Amino acid sequence: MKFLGRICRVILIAAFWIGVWTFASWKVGKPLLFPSPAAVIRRLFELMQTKDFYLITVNSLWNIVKGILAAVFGGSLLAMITSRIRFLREAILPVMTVIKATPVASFIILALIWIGSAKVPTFITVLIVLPVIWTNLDEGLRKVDPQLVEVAKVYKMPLLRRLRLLTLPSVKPYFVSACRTSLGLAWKAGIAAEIIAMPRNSIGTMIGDAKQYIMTEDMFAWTLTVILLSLVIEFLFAALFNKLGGKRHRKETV
Amino acid sequence: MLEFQNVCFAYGKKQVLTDLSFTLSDGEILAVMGESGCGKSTLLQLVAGFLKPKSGIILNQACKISYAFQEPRLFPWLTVTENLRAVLSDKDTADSRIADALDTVSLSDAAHLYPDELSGGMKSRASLARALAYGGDLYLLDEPFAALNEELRAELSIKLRERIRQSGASAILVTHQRADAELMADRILML
Repeated sequence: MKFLGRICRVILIAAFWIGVWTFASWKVGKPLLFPSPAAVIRRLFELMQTKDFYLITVNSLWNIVKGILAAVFGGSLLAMITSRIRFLREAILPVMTVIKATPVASFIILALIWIGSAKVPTFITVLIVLPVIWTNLDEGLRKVDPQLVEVAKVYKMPLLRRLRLLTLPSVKPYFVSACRTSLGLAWKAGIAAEIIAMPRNSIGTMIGDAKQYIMTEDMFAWTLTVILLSLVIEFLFAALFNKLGGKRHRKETV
Repeated sequence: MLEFQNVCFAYGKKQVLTDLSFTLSDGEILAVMGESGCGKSTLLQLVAGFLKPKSGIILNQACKISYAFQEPRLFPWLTVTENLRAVLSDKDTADSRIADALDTVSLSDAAHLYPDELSGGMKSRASLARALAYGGDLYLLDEPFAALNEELRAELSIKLRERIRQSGASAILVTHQRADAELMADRILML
């Protein structure tokens, strides 16, 4: 019953915003500038009937997922090292701050010059996600409850068990939060990189082309594809962490 | 088994222990009493190796230390049973050790509960059960009965004393309650 209520609420909210979109599009009255939801969905279905749609979507998906995975692995490894070596942390902190503060477009253009268009989306995704993962995990690892660390020490818990029963559960909320933030950023930065770098068979290139030829319906349809993909990935991620974190989590020591 | 020789310890400029010397023999239970802030818990932390003395020598021959901390310090994401299992290495005997320890502290019914589902007294008993299940040759007990009512304190003091005696281990009990000290300990050290 609760689930049904939630579904109804989601449908109502979606209907409201689609209504707002329809009204705005009708008010503007120029489909070339602001297409209606019906026109966009119709165009999306047309695109979905072509083979290229899937090739392009999978290619973009892979570019970004590859970047996320590399950044999660690299950021975690780096955090494990820097949480133990204070000097290294202090040395890396300014680099991460600079990366976070620099406009993505600057990095995209530099990367385009350095490594060529095909690798830019993945590289940019790594660059955007890695600092988020590192910052959160480094903080999480440094904030493992020292009282529980003493328990692990006095009872001589072996390293692997300590990792499984103390470190990972302590760090999990930081990791999940970092991944949640990163997913949205990764899609935005990855697609932006594709729009500027224009690698072959990518959603960003399609959006870039649509902009160039003022095919607004296409632009909306591809953007909708990105949003849907992002939601699916976020849903899968949430499901994975719910499964992994079957046991309850409490941050505070009791 | 354990010897303090002229041990001094200070937190910054605040001197806590000055020239403390005592010996704890094998199988002996020593109660440490004194006013708040006189260094009772510090003494246990020095024995456990979490703190280093400013001067003096601590000779500790204990290989396994069972420490019931002043705060229960249970892993919040593990049940009571899992908290006990976390410190046990021998899988074959783990189940029986856990059951035995929980029975001693009368907490068998709460074995499946998470720490935040326990009362303050139950958490203290779970922490005590963890120390018992681990079965060290030196028990460090930092006010383990603080959150318990008088009846339970007396009952647990006797049970704990029996368990420690049977295992041949030594123990240092930090307490504010003279009755606990008299029930459990062979000797009382006033700080």
